Amino acid sequence: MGSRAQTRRFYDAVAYVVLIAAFFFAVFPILWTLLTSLKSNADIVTTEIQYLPLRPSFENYATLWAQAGFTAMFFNSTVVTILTVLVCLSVGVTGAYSLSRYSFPARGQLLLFYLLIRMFPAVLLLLPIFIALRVLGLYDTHIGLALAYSTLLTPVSIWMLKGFFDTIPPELEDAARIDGCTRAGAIVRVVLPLARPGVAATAVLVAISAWNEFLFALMLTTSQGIRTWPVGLQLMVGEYQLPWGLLTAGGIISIVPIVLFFALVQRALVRGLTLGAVKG
Amino acid sequence: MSNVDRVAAPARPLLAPPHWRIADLSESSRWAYYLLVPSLLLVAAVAVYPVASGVWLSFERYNLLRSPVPTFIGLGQYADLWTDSTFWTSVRNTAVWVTVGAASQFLLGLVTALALNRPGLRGVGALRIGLLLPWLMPSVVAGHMWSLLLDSRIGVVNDVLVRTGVLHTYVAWFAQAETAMGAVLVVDLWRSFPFFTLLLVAGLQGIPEELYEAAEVDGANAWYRFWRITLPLLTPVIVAAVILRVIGLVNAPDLMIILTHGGPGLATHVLSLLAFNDAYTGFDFGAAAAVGTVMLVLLMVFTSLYVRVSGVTRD
Amino acid sequence: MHRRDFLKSSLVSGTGLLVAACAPQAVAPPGVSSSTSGAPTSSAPTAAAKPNGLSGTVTYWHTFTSQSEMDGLDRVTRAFNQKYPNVTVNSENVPNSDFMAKFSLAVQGGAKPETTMISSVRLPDMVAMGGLMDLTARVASWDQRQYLPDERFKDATLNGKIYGVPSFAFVNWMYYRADWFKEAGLAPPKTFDDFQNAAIKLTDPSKNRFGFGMRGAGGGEGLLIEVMRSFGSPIVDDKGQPAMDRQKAIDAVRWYSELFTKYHAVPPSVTNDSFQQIMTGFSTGQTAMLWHHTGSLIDVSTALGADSGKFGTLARPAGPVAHIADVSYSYNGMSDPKNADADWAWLDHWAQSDTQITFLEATGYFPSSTKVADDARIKNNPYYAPAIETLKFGGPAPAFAGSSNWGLTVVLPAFQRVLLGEIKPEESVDLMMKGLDKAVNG
Repeated sequence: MGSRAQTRRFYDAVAYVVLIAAFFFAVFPILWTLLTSLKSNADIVTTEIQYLPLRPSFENYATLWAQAGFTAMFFNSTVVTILTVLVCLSVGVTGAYSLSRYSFPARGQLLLFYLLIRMFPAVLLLLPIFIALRVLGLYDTHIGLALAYSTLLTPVSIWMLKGFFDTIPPELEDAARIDGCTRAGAIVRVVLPLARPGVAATAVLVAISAWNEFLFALMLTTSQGIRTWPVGLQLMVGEYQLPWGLLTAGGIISIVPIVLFFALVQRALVRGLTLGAVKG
Repeated sequence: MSNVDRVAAPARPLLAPPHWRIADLSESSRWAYYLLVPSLLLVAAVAVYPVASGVWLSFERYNLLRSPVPTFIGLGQYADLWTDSTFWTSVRNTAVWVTVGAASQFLLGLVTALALNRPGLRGVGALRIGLLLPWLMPSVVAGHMWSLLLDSRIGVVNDVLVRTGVLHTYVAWFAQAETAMGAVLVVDLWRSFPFFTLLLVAGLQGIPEELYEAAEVDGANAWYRFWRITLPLLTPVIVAAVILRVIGLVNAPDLMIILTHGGPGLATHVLSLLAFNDAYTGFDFGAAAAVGTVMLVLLMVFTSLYVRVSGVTRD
Repeated sequence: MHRRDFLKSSLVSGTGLLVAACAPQAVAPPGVSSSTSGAPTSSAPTAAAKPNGLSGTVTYWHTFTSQSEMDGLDRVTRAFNQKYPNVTVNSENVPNSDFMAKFSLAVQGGAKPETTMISSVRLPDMVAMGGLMDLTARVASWDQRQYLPDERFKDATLNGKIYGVPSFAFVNWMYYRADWFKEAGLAPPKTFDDFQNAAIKLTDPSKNRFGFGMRGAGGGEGLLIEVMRSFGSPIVDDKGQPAMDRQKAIDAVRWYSELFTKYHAVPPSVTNDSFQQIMTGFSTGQTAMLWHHTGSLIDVSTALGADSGKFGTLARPAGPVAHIADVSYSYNGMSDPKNADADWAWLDHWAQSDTQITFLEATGYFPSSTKVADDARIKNNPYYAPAIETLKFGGPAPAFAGSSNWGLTVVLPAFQRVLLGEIKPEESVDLMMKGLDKAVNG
């Protein structure tokens, strides 16, 4: 008994070491980004590297926020991201469930088919999608861009969600059906609650991809319309200009909404119900 | 028990109509296909034509500058690629980039996910968010920040390594053929391991505690529990994550463009960069389509093999 | 702001000249300014049509980034709105590195902008894909033509047709650490030999100093091509056919690369050094000499101090056969003919002296109009003297459809491999010549 507790404590310690090392690796560059955003350009490009800003100021953030169009771009990114997540989750859950639970001819091929659009470099998909959106009158609109993103991110959602659905034993749904549940009811009452961590993880990853996507946003939006945040960031990098302070401030502003979204969704990542409660 | 009871005896007329219809629909033998319709519609409607026209383009000569009218030339583009040394260098570099990249990102992701999943650890919430931050950063900022961090004049990493005595002088990480690929791999490891961490943590949550407890009671040690319970049950999530990440590594040149643009020389030149250059510097969309099709075929082969070997589509 | 202060502070009083130069242009009606164009002043194409007659929207794509550039654009736009209150200019800011990607998509997808900024290296590609309108007729009967000599249109002329109107210029020159040179008793270099000598003498690894901040990453191919031409090897001939001289090109590549490989007068990060890095190197006191152009003058003087005596500007050194320095103009052109007269009014506006001066004040960019170049703000500024001198011998870089791609994907990697020691100059030139043939002849 004692040795099992000891082994557990040992592995706990190992876990802490791993997590702290990884945390440091992950966070240090972000911290550096934050510190750089608080410095003026003269303090960044210097002979002696300044670790902590000698004259910290939020000037970069103020400049950024006051710059024409930045609040609009932020808003556009938010709307497009929310729309994309909604579409991908609704379409993804249904498709992934079917592919996970039912066997039908060409199931394997269908799975691969979904990935087809992702396997081709985005640069070559641009023209057809550009023309399609213009024809549909959806060029430079939130819905248009969200649809374009959804076509790229639905395959991702389906594959991820299918993976999570696969880890839930089908016996549970059979048990529910024996008790009189419809198939749809079983999905809603049994599978989704258990798959909550997976659905949350998928939502977060889709949100991040939509929020940070640059190439489609550049090509399918204009500054008069719904230009998004990543394009705004790229615009700071000119042929002869690289304003470190502004760019890093932009990066920090960029991650704040997603961190908030993640904090909200975080509890869903931990499975609320255990198997025991459902089995009864 | 009470939840199931309630579900067990619904009286049809009492249920709201839409629910009733979906419930009915779900009992039909075509339910599996109905579930597929929304996603299939969305993807097929948009995916088929661009990919098909892209592949078809690879059999044509289409250069905006020189031959703006696409003309069919059969395997001409592929013959050009076959004799192009840049293409073969790109293939080799892509192989290194994808294998080392995917493996390193997966391993770090797995290790951190296992650690995060341990019950009873404190402060896990904050750690989890911190670990996720690199994946949140837009590429344009991440790329430029890392080129600043590793800069050979004002780079913090160099400064720290010199002060702690690990290095003698600042190293120009991206300027030397030997270190350039390694440096870019480290940047992508930083940026992408959270993708695995997030998915694997969610996947680990799906493994019932009871299985571990039962195994422990039977005297199984940690290694056994990992190999015989965790890995097999995690496989579907692992396969999905690895495939998605491999596709991302093959297709996206965003970090490479900012950090090295394929240099120095051709040390970090990968296929996605070749396609990008062909399309947007050379405006030779026929050539770009050929490279894109090669990438598509490679990815298809890898995905089919991996899926078959791992058995995730086995019934 | 910094820029205006800089221009004012390094100026000997020339305000009298300025007023004289400015006054008559203010709202000159067509034909009043000393016009020798010969075209009847009543017809629309001569100069911009009657101010209130034009209406509509004009989209303008540009790659201006910095605060000062945007400020300049803003002021120019407002001045335009005063002249033409019924025309709305919608400026679309496009990230510089993705400009051609977005432009080619617009061309293919049938969504071209009405007007656009055009850099000289991009023009041939933009014309070849059918993205620019022929402006020859409009330019021929234009009243501003007299202030824009033929050679300024050279980069915008293909097959005898003109596709753009020059708005400002980037004159290639160099910066050098005047204080280091003084310390070492060296004179600013005039020839390649002087240059090499100075680079070697000023390299001091113990002080982490290097003689030359060579640009070995993106953009560096342009500098190498200038060196090759200085050694006597052209790139293409008058008919646009490949005309590289193998031996001379090899000599050029060898001379240039040996600054790094043999004399170590260049920082070891050279193969990853693009504009950002060479500027950092010069600003932080790592390098003694820097090859760039007039567009970065404000940045350099902000970093090192305008009157500190730390830096100076200089014309590029002369090579063994030719004295080469590229002068590239930024052009404005028309893409979509929807609103042609209003579009032309916008283009015309940029070439007007007050616009050029407004823009100069905001950004420090060299004007394209000779009338403005006589302005005291430029003539009396010692830093601009090498640029004025360079305009006498400098000219456009060789550009043809596909030249950007050749430079970036063939010349640059080949040169980087020479720097890395992977291949010899001979092999690199062979690769370049083979690639050039493919680029020109398919």
